[in-house]
Amino acid sequence: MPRGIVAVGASWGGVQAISTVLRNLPADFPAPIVIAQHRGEETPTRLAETLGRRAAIGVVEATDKDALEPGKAYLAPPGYHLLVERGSLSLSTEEEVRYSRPSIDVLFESVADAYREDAVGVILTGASDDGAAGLARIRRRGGVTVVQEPATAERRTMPDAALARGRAHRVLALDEIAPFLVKVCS
Amino acid sequence: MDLPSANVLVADDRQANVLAIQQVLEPLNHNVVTASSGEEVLRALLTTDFAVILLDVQMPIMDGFEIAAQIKRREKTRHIPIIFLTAVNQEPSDIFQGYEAGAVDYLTKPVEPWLVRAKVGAFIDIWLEHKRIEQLRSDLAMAEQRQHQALQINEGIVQGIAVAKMALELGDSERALDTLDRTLTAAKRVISHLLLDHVDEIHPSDLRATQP
Amino acid sequence: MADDRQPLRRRDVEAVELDLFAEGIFEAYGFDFRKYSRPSFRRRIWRRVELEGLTSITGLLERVLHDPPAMQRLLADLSVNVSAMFRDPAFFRVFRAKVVPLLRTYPFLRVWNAGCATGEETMSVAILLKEAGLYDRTRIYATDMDDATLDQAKSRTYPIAKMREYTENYIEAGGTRSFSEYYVADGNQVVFQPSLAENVVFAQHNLVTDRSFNEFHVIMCRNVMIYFNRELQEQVHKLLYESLTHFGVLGLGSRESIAFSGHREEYEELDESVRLYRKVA
Repeated sequence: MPRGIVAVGASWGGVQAISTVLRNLPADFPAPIVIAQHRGEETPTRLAETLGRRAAIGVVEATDKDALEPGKAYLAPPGYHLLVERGSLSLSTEEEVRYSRPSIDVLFESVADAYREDAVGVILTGASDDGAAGLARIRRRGGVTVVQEPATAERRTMPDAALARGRAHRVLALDEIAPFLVKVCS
Repeated sequence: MDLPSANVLVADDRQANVLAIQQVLEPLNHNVVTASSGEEVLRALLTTDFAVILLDVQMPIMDGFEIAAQIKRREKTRHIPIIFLTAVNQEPSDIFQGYEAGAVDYLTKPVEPWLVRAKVGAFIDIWLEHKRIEQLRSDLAMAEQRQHQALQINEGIVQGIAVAKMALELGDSERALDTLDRTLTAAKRVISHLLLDHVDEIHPSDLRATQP
Repeated sequence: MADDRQPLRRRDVEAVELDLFAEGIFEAYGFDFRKYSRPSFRRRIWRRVELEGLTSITGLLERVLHDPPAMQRLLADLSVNVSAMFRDPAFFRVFRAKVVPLLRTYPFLRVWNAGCATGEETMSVAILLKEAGLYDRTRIYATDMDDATLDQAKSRTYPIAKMREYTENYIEAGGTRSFSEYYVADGNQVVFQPSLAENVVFAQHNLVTDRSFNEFHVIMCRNVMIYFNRELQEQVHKLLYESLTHFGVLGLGSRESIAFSGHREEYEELDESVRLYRKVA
């Protein structure tokens, strides 16, 4: 069954990890991608631009109520939580969740609830356990879950925490993730 | 860790009894508040946090049982231990009623000084322990927050360097320098927060129970 | 067997419950959350369900309908917009540079802080106008749907722990004085100077259900409409448009856009990095 959305979460080491995954996706990737990367509020490091430079798919900072288009990646902006409903995304300025805003759990939970079996959740490198609960919810709602192989992660805390909550459908090295996403979303 | 002074409430309509108990409790070196009626008891409870209440059973207008019932009805006060003060010839059924009303113990008048001190002392210790735990909890929360701030700094730096590296790989050295500059500025800011918010470290000895 | 048969649901239960919830609140209290953006709305509602010690949205509806204080708690929750003074300092920097010169040409100014919540933005605008020498000719209208939240804003009181962050924001926003001049410490809180509220009118107003009440030279509505769905955003944009004078300026949050507003052609973008628009048609 083709999947309708890919949600990606990362913190420490996430820039390179996300860039690697995105770079290996084809321009006609059939699903939208939503990304929560922990970011400080002070410096928008033009992350979207950086990630997009070497990717075939388009990468943008999410704007409230953007339509979710296939073959496009939407990055949670600094200081906002990113949420989704079928076909579009929305932002929130509610409190930090586990000290993070954007929070991976907040994104993944809304993806799980809106897309259910059509969701794919991917947890990459990171130094906190944000995302573990959200990934578990994606799995409970029938979605597919992917965790970066902890030994290959720049910081293994996040993938370890995700796996501690339950088995993922796939535990993959970084360069195996994009091909898997292509397979599961087509 | 500086421990607060515990408050003990002693209620009896007869001044002589109140003073006697107050004197007996003096060596414990905590704060004794007195009351001579149910109304005074309830009023004191509005403003003070008590470790234990010594309550005379036979008071005019509102007797001890009624007062106890009122104390138990209020959410803010229902957890406070109540020790009933009774006359020697108290009926067993009355004693039973006392426990039903929520008393944890009984003391017969005239009170035996060492007994009062022992019982009240025990409840004060429990109260102090609760306060310690509260303090530790709040210290822990603060430490957690500082830990997250430290993590934030590191993540921010790591991310900034990664973005700068990528910019360099693409030949955009101006962008790389700009990114590094902003990353360092932001990191400096969060670090200064961390340093200025410094609180005393938690020592392992604090986590051990107070000595008996 | 007959016992195993169950009626099949036509729609997702939670979606039904949320619809009923919003409908019930509207019928009973007149507050219209029916077109709030579902992802954030459902999250906030579930949070309320947990805080009330309940287990379902329908349970929360029951409580809110029968226990008005519970409704007040809900309202206060939905009204709160976690904010900071001079949030997105770049916005205020650009405001100083590009909007203040425009405002100088008017003898009298009306500013609307729509959805002011606990007043952080109101104070920020007041301070900015004071420093620009425009405060005395300005009347600021700070509105929110919840009276209790407005009371909080009127108190001009904020936790002292926040002042470091606010001070930095203020400096980065181009503040010209020492930020601590604007408030007085009081225990673990600070109270901002009464002079900052002299020309501020705090009033209850609901962007969803109430109509325009004046024409303004500046409308600040930042990170308020992100909680509305697109249809409601268009409706509110219409209200804001109608509440702006010709050449009036609209300020939105950094990740909001007028692109979805039916009036986008009638605004000119004042800056490409912050959301400031001028009504030109």
